[in-house]
Amino acid sequence: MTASNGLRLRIARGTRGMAAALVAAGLLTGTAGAQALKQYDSSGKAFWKNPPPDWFLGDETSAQKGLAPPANPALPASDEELAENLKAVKLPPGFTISVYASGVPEARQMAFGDKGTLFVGSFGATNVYAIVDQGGKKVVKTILKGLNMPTGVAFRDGALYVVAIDKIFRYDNIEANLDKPPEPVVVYDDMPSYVAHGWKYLTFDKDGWVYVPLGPPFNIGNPPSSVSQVRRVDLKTGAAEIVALGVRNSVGGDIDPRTGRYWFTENARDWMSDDIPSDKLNMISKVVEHFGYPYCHQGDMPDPKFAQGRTCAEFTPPVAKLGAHVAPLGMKFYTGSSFPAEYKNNIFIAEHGSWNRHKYQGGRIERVIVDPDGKNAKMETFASGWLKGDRDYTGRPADILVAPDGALLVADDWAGAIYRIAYTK
Amino acid sequence: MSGVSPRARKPARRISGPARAALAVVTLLACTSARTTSARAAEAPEVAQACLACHGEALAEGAPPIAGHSSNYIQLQLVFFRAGRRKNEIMQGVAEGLSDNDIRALGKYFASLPVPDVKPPADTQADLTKAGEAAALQHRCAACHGDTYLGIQAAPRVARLPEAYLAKALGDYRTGTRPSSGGAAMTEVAGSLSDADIKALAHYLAVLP
Repeated sequence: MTASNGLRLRIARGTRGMAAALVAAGLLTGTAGAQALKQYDSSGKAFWKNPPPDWFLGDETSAQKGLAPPANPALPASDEELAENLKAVKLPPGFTISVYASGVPEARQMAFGDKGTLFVGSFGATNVYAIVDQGGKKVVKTILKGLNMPTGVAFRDGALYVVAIDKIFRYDNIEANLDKPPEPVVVYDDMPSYVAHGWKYLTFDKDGWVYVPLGPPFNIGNPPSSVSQVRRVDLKTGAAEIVALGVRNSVGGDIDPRTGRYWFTENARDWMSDDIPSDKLNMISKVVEHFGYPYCHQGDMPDPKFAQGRTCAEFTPPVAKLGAHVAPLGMKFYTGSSFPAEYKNNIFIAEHGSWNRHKYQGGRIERVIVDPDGKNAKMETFASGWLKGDRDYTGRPADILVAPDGALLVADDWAGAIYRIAYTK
Repeated sequence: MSGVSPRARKPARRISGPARAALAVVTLLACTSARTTSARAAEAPEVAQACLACHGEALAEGAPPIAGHSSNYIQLQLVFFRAGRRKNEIMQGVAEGLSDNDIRALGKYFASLPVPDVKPPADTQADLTKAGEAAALQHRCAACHGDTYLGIQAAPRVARLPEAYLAKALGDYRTGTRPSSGGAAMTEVAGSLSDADIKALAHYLAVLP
């Protein structure tokens, strides 16, 4: 998976001639009378910098033909619609789900401020939101507008950090200035401007360095040297180190409270089939481990074209195979205390759900129970019910956050809402 | 794939010239008065009355049939009109007064109506139809709009829509004056169309049996 919703990318056009030529070229290889398959040459900088709007179709196959990302709803779901949708959500006994806030278009990563403000990034909506409590009612303020895919947010020492493709911004003393945020300070910009898979996620570690994943600007190929990696960055000095290579599209990660190690979700390539390759949960046990992309998928499946002589044994396998096209995005270790004790240090993963699959799967929250060394991973579905029929969503979980009271918050970028899952017994 | 209503229906009536201008005024009046009157149509939400003046059983000139489109498609277009991203004097005027809940209700209502069971006009330009069919294959229209062009999710039904409307829509996508949903698919596709392609595609889709 990958591309997610709407894909309303702000990409300059100007590739029409190329696209037309390629469509025509695709025709030549198609069978007579059949509709051509979409094929793009994504191997050069012209494509990375200015991909056609439908770049994610560029490796189309006859088996997966036409399986493009579904268009987002026009509006965030109303309170009535959300109430109806949540009736269908299944949870383990003792848990309940409710709407924390509605009217949060394309909600992605969440972060709490020290004073209880919930900051939320967005996908194509270009906004960052602040959700505050006013007399027991949650009020959504759009505090930043016009950013380039500001999917990732984090909070530390009074400041809000926002990542928007090629820049990380810092907004100081933000909670005292929600109605008039300060001018941002650019604290890191040594990243390419490629928008495709350029949307990001931020995770601070205990030293105050931030983990940032950088995805390749296409589905599959030999990536530009600046991406397909995870970096650890000191935002005070701009110092950065590569901690993982061979990573495709990762938009979720967290620090293991047991070990301090970084774990992350990864979306596998598209257009192979409905059932392979599997998306992954990974763990970095030493710096500059290579996780296989584009040579090897799911730890044991050489890419038919891009293996290029490499074998899967050379690369770090995943901790867990999460399934094909489930699209794992945000993830968090459960560090709260209001859930039953057996949930302590379990991982919750927000699965955004399929687009490149005939029958969608994912669109739910998975629970992973796993040892600190990555062994003995067990998975079970924690929350589901947003997927209707073969290809209809009422919601798509995009991020997870443990609230100060131990409840689990879920950002849904399809319904434009934040949910709260509590243990009430 | 079904979805075509067996219900018989009068062919669309065309309104032009001064009648159209008058209708525009009526529409705007209807839009403002419909929201204050307490009278309710049997099924249609009150707010739909303004729409039905042009998009009802009889279509005003330039107004496409909207019954049976998906709720998401209807809502997307209304949001685009309301935001001024899709341009049309009448529609922008109507949409600017709509709340989010109005738009949700309109999407639900028009999606619940059967697709108009109109007979396509007689095809008197077989060569143009053939050229349109080839262009539709080349540009992969069916990938999103379905093999019978009856629409899938946010990609609307394009079969048997008025030829002039289809040509205008494709031209507007080509110039970027009409926004595309679903990964900017229409912006991308229409960007490479020639005038002849647009003419042929509009004709082919309008006369689809």
